[in-house]
Amino acid sequence: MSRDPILLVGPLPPPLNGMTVMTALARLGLSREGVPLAFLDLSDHRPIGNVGRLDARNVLLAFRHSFRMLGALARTRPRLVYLPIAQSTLGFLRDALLILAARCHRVPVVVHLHGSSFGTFYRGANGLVRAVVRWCLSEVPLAIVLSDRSRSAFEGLVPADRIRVLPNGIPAPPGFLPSPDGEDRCDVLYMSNLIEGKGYRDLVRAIPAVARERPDVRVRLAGEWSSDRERREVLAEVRRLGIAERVRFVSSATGLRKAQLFRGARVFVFPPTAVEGQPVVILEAMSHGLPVVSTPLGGIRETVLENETGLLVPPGRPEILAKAILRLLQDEPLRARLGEAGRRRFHREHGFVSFQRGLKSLLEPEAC
Amino acid sequence: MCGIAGLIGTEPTRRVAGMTRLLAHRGPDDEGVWSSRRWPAALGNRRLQILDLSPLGHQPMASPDGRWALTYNGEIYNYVELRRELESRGHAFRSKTDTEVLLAALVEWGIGALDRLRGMFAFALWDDRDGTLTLARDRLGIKPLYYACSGESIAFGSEIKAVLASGLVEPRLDPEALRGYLRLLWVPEPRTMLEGVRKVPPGCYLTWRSGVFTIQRYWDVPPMEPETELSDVEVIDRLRQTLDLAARRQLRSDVPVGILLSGGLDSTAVLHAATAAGVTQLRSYSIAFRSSDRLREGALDDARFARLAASALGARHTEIELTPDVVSLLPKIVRHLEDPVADPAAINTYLLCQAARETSTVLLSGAGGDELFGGYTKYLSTLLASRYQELPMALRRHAVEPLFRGLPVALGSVGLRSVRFAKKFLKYAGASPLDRFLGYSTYYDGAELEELLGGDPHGNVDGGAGVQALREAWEGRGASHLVDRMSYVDLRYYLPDLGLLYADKAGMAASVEIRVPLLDDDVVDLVARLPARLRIHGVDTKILLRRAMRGRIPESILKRPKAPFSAPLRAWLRGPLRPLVSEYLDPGRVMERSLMNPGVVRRLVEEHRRGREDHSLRIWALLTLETWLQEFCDDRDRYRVPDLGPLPETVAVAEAR
Repeated sequence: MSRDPILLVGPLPPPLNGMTVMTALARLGLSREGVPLAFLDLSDHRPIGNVGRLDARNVLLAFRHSFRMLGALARTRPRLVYLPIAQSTLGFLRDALLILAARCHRVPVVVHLHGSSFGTFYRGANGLVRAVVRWCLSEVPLAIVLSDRSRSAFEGLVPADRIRVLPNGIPAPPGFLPSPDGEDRCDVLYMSNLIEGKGYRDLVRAIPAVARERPDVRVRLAGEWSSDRERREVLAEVRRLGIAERVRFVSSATGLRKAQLFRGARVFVFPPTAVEGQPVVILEAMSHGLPVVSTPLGGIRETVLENETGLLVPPGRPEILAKAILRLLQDEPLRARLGEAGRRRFHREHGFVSFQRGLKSLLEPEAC
Repeated sequence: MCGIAGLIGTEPTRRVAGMTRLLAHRGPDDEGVWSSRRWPAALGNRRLQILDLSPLGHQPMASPDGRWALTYNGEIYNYVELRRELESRGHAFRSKTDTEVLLAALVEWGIGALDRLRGMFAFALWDDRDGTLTLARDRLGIKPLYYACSGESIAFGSEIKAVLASGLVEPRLDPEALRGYLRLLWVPEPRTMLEGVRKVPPGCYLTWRSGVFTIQRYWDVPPMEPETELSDVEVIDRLRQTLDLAARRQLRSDVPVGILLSGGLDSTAVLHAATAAGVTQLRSYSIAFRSSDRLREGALDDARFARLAASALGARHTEIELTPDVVSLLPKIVRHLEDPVADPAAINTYLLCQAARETSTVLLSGAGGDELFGGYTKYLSTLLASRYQELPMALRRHAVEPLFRGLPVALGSVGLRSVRFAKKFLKYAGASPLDRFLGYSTYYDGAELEELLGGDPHGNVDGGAGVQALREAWEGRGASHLVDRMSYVDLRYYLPDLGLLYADKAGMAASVEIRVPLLDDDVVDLVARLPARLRIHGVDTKILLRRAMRGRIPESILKRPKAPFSAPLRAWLRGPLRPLVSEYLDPGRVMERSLMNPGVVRRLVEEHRRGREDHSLRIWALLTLETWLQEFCDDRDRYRVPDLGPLPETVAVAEAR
């Protein structure tokens, strides 16, 4: 078996987002499996608002990364490059430079798609960008997607026999975590960036109806605001809806703070209105045994099973969302049943060990 | 000195036998378990024989009438005097042990006996008639004692491992203890890092009956008096006499005695007192850094002073060069210290005890001198900051502080110790006395800690997280002098939970007993009351001890600057610990642990690597924590003893009785 390393290319936290989390976990998992590994860190420590923005700094950063990629290829002489790819024009153009560098060194590139909006991005792109995408994917030995449903993202771009499915897998919460403080207790928890497409405003709009039935309901939204303007608007809406006492916004959390929020919550709500892949935050909620209320978009409907591990509601319908939340808050046995089924499903489908083993086997020389 | 354990609960005899076996290193010479016939109660003991090497000192020891059973760890230094008094009251003794004297004293005077004891101890006394358990610990917490309660049961032991073996608690993190550890590098009592396992606080006793317990304080550090009626010369004379008496008392043992000699004022003062007590050919042990490590550390050459002290006072000196395989040492130390301790001085003590075990069973130490006599740089910083605050604010804000903020803490491989100190001094120099004392005692402020643990540093931050007990101790001291408050907080928390903890555990790991003459009860009673001017004045520290030692120990030791008892951590982090930093602080691994913000951890490592900031102790604390999690949490049944095998003979004997 070849001992030449795999060159893993991607960003590590900070900041924490789906891409940095999965890059860090892929690196950890492959090294635990004993895979010879080199790593090119593409970290950009600026806040989330800079992602995908066309500015001079991002352009410079893209060129800098591609030069570093050339250096890393020359230094480490990998047998393979593993690259989690973007699904936006700017992000993909940056990835294209990296793929170009690998092609110059005649090193094959395995791409890993962590979202499910790649197809939408490709179909909406202009002719030039589509040509770049086609060229980039024309020689990939393997494209990894999150679910069977996401295979279609590469339809016509990568031959079907080169597309493999690997669900996201994350570590389960350790058994030594402490019980939550009283301060961490809440009925409804949302945890993600506070961006329109994540559906958090639908949750805010659902709260008055929930509060009519459960006047003491405590809702917590943990995440980073995308802009000051949005923050002001939403806080004004919260006041207008008369739920300022019921809703609390806290900053994005990780580590012990995040674990305590999960452990202190009764129901997890994540109702995106834009297509999602397999949101890590839903897996985290399942790992903590929380029932999940979400929308059946992208990979979510394969992760959250209706009436089995959570409840699925149509996107952009706060009144239906409120009913689902109330149903769970008012029915403790249902909550416990869905939460426990979610925990079991997490361990069965999304455990970290099966993810790291799956990734290793996909990257073995005979597989690609 | 020994290890003790006990359980009131299900299957006590079998479980206590298992708990006691985990303490074998604390007492390799004898093992015993006592069981009640009336109650589901058992006590266990492992013994290292120091006084009366005959089997008559076997523990647990029952009173002649069978009502009381005692298991005890430590030394009662005034046991000869107490024995005489008890004999005059009609008690007869079979052995020459202090255990028998302690048991008789408790029978005679009840819990009031604690006021008469001079020494270091942790014991459990079981009243088999009433079904009452009493756990007690010496005044300053020289000997450890842990317990856990669950429903109607209680388990206790000299070590956390023994309590875990009882099966009464699951290894789960105590979040407040975690915060305390990260801020202080040690866990303040009464918490331990494990939820549900507590320390009996120093100077306290716990009474338990039928699942209900109370904790009462029988002693506290006496308050400082504004002035003393004695002249300075009289104070110095009295201190000298008290120290000499303490050394004589503490040198009562039937085994060879040595000393941990750092070359500082405290350990040299103890060496002098031991010599004055008539011990000849005392063996002394010290640590020396490699010169390259010292340079990287920006540290002083302690070893030179240790050699000088040994030669001036006639000790047979052994110097150990500090070049351990630190990667394999870390898990061993963590296993023995039990609560995570990120002060590298624990490593030195551990290695010294290992080296001394062949030749000395008892080791003297200068521990406690800095807290009692006022020797820490942080005391000086807290006091001097008041002067700094008198400078014009514009000068502070726009000149001094920006200048130091921008300076690096290392130039290549050379550590800049003074820049490290200045940066820390300036960070808290503008705060209130309590906040700057806590600032100089800690490694994260409230906001930094919140960020490290994954929260929002700009949100509603609890500035007292992890250090609330210390704040309360400070405030409870009222409006006393700053020196008194600082010394009090350190004697109540820093000393027992750090210095004394690692002294006991590192010693026990090598089956060596460490004794601390500077913390002898009479020395503490004298010094704690003396006015501040005899401890710190201007930039002079430990004024009284220096004066008392003048003419007794070499002048260069009296005049040398304060040096921390440390290890070349900065050099280790750039050398042998580098792979461990990459592995343990890998962002994926940090995420897996669900405790820290991986981005913040990564930033600390990067800043330190580039020499922009000195995060060596923070990084060491994170490595220690990860090792601790592996040792105490990852395998939940590691210390639980499911199948004990045949019971030891001693158990069968105790039950047959």
